Amino acid sequence: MKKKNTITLFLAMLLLLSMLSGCGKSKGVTVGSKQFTENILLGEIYAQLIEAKTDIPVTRKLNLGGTAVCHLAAQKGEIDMYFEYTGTAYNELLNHALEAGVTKEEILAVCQKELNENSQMTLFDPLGFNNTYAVAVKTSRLEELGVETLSDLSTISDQIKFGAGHAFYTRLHDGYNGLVDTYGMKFKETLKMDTSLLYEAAHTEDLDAIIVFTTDGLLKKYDLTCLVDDKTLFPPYEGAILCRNDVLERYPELRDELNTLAGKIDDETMQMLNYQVDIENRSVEEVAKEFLISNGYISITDQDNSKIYTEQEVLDIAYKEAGINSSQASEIEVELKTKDSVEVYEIEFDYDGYEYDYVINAKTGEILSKSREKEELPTT
Amino acid sequence: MSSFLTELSRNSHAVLIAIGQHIGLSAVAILLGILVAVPVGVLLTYHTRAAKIVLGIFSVVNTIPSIVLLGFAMIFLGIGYIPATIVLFVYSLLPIMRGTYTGIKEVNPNALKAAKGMGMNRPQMLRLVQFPLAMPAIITGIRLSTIYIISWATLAAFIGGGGLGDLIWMGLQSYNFHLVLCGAVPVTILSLLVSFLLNHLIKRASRHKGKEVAT
Repeated sequence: MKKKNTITLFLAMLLLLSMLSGCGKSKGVTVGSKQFTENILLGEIYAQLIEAKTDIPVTRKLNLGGTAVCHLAAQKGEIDMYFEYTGTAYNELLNHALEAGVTKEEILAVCQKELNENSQMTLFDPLGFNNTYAVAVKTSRLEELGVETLSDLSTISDQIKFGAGHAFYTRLHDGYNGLVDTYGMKFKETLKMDTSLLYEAAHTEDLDAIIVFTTDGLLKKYDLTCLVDDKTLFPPYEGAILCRNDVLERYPELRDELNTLAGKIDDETMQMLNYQVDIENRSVEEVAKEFLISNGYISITDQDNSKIYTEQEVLDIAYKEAGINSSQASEIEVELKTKDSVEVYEIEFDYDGYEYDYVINAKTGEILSKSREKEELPTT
Repeated sequence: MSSFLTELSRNSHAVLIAIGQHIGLSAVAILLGILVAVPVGVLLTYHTRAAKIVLGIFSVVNTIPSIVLLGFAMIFLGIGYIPATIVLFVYSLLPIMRGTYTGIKEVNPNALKAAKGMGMNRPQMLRLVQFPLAMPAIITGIRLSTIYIISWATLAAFIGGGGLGDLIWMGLQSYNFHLVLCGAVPVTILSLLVSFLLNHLIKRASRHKGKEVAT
């Protein structure tokens, strides 16, 4: 009996899940993102770009989860696009080993071809930056040490104090072992420490060289320069937007907009954008908007009615119309829905034995329908 | 379980080095702690007011999360083994100091009167009466301190201090939970071992105390 219950529950959950994923397939596009600043910021940039340049309604599901979560969500139709990296797609989504010597062009070509065939998704051309591992040195010490490339560093590696986060030491080929095997590094000291403290240690010159991510905003804050990886040890992680094919068929105008930024954001620009969010604590929306406007991708007049009313604001509209104040209503329910590609709030509340129903346009605050019915008393 | 053992044997060299570093970190911190905290604890028994202030200050210090103190240590002392040891040393002081202080304070006054009557001077009383009678409390303090330090030493990994914390963090960051266990299991065993040894010492010291009281 218990087993049967479990099966029923399981089936019910499956049904619920399929219904939920069905909901995502309504009109408009949904932009997702992974859980870190750069990815969220790029998701927001694409969302604003689409909002400004097309009439397609955009829903944001930013800060979703890791690569696996985002890709699965895109496959299920919960999201339509998110920002992906070539190395990640090649290795984690397509299960190819990232071996040294494969060029970034080859990896990109394989990703674009196989994502299209296996997942029915289009990986657009990369934006230009490459968010991969790098060895960084304080900019003011480059001359003193006489290094520009990792090969330069290997010649003086016995005088270098090196530090990296713990994860770097666990990577089989492109981590610490790779540095030793490919470049023949023999560091004077090798420290494992917390990634966020590495930058401070390089700044105070407790460490001479540290492992960083090339687009990290902290590189700018601490004025560090990445050495050139002249033997291409670190695999390419070029960033590009990944969108499901059926969405591109439904909205052909999307293709042009998603291509707008190709080749337009280099490492320094991405560092700068991350810096504004991570170090200057500015909001993702604001940084994304400023970037798009200042580079002429959208104009201020494109900034249409992307703002919608909050739940509290529409409730106040409904209370005012009903002639009551907020403390008098009970059993309040507010739900944001899309009806005929218009975003509306459905509001329900009880007052004085009557049930009130309102439908209010989420963008204009206009009351679209209202009703007032005698509340049905539960039969005893 | 078997995959944990595989991981352990694959990393056996790294685990052994990490255990060595871990013992090195904890032992130096504790030995320095004993050298400083026991004499200070004794001195404090002569000045009750000073004792309240000093023990109060260290109680506050010990409530600072160790990760914060490690962060500060990094700014002032740099990174690596030495700042990590210094932070652990600071943390080790309070339990030992408090154990020494209360142990000596709580020596039966009659024993002291008897010692005085026998013509002992202060250093003799300390060495022959107060110290042996306070020994169980002092070792209890040391035991408490050591167990803390062994577990806190895992945080040395944050500032490049090495130790078993390295394995734990490497495992956590690469979702390799067997690697996490390679660090966590030896830490637990070390703690249990030290706890067992020092408990044994406390028992022996208490037996001594029992005899003193009986005669």
